[in-house]
Amino acid sequence: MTTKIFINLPVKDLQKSMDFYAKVGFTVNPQFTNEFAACMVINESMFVMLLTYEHFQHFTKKEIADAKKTTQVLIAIDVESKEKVIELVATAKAAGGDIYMEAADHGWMYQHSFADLDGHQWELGYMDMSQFPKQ
Amino acid sequence: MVKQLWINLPVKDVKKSKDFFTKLGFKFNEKFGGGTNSACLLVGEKEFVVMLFDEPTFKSFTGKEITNTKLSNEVLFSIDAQSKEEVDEMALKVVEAGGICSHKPKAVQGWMYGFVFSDLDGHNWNILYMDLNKIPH
Repeated sequence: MTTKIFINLPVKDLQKSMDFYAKVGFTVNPQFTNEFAACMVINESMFVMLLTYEHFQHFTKKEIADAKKTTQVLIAIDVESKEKVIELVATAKAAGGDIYMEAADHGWMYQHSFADLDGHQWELGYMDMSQFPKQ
Repeated sequence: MVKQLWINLPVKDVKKSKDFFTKLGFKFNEKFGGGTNSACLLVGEKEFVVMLFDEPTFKSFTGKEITNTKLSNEVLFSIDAQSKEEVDEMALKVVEAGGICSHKPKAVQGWMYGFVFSDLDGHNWNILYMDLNKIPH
């Protein structure tokens, strides 16, 4: 049975992307990091791998999609507060990320998003279940 | 910093995708999704959440066109197996369920064994057995 998942994303410039994600606050696992790939730790079983185009191409015969033009995946994360969502989006923007949508405040849920240097999209959310509308 | 992470993927036909992943041995959380436009796939014993959305719903989240996965890919998911036999079993299930394996399971870099398959929508998954004792230092 599966106990680990790695989300592999192709990036044009590994060092620049590592710098971007370090600024946003992700930790790198050096055991799985080399000149072709960087492993960012979400928790003990979930990882986001940044792969150079050359390395990513080993796994697929298809072209690498230009994520600035089209989207195949949306990675969503849930953080501890609305303020953290606001802070992360501001940090991502300052680090060169793209803010492609307005924030959405549903009262019990606050959502915003950013795209990284290569256009890979992340959705950030904070949910306060105590404010969830009662039926 | 991150409390939870989940993956959102576009699919052409939610019901067909549910059948496909069920045949692979994965479960669904029927409390979420459950309608015709979404489903909550749970991968493996840690139950990683992958939300499957029909294409119009997915597009409403991203504001961009959906990638034509017949031509190109933006992402590859790697999930682990606990033995080479489990990798081989999975490869058989994938083909029976209608997925496409690009190659038979094979040894990779001396410490991994696996294969890549495309699901019904062209999303690529890598099933991998990793022998961490053999990882080069």
